[in-house]
Amino acid sequence: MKKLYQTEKWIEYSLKKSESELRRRRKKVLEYERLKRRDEKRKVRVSQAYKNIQKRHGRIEIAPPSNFSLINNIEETGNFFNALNELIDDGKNIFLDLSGVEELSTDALLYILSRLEYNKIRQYKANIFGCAPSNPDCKKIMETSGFLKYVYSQNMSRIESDPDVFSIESGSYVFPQKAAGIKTFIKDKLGKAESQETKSIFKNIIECMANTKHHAYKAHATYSKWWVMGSYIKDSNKVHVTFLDNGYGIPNTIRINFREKVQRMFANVISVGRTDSLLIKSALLGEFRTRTESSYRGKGLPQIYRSAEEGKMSDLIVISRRGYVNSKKAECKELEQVFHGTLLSWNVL
Amino acid sequence: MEITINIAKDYTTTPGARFKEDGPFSGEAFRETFLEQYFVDPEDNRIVTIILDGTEGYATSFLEESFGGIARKFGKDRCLKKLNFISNEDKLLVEEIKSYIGNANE
Repeated sequence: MKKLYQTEKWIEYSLKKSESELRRRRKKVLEYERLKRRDEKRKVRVSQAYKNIQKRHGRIEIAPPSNFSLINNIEETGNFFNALNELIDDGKNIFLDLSGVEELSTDALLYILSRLEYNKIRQYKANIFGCAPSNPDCKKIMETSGFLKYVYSQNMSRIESDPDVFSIESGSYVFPQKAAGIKTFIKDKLGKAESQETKSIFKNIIECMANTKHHAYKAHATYSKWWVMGSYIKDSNKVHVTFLDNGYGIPNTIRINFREKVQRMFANVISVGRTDSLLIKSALLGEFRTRTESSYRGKGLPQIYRSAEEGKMSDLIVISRRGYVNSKKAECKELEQVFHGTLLSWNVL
Repeated sequence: MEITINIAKDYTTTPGARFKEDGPFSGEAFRETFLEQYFVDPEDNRIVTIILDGTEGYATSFLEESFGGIARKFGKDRCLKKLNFISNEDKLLVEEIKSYIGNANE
């Protein structure tokens, strides 16, 4: 007796079934490709909109604004970094032309390091080169900041140390000794004796480091990284501290309620009604924003904010995702571009 | 008999954050190494005096995990009875720790 699967009828049926399956799959692939092409067309190319960018010598040269500072010129500097991010994602040869920088702040240097780390995480998809600022003051800031410890440099192999600068330190964990180092630097520069105020410097740095570890990288703990730097400003006799991590950012890692979730979904679609700055402010005020749902957690940011309110630190600025909060000016604003990570900047008087 | 733990001398002058995986000198490590041994035996009524002076400072996460953590494990009342704090450098610190113990979720 002939077996069923050897019969003409069965073979014909089987062939028809295979062809139909093939057609179905081909249609699916074509539909996927069509949607992909449509999305590519719709995607706004940030790097194309950025004006200080040009293709030369087989590489893309990108220059930051002359006032290269996140805390003083967030919009222009933010646009520069978003264009840079896009170029890194594209895996281009990138030349960072800092020659035209006239004003440079340490937060911008830390954010460059954070973007280099991002490229490292992406297995060095892009080749990134660059040059130092021509302006001697800016060049000095770069040389003394310790920035060169983290990059390979041919022309600027001379790393200067400046007693007025606590050079960039970075890490993935909480390093109490490094926090103590910053505290000692501030105490020495401002001639402060050991007090509650100096202890709060140590506390706040530890809280920043711990936040990086706990909240910034909920999915990729191995990539958690922070950078910190301090610089003494003689004219105003204050120490400026900058702390940066390159995680998901406060608005993405705190607990949000249903209404806020819906609001965020709409904001992402229609680009209005964003609330990142309000979420940051709420987290700073300690309005039970911890994702762990434990009332005893999430005390780090409120502790930092309390220090600012009590005058133990001044000019506290927090930038994360699209949120910008300036505690001194009581200013909360939404940024045009996304800031990847969280930046805290403050002064100790 | 009274037991004295001087954090700066016996543990570190630079206390860290909450958990051991956060980095060195965490609150969790301090609680497990120095505090829990005096709470394991329910009959142990010795007073543990903790000297908080001499460190660079304490992050809230360290204090909460050390003392709030022990209260969650062995009860608020027992902790408040058994632990005695000395802080001459920062008078508000003792109140802060007691609030962590009082607010600990058992």
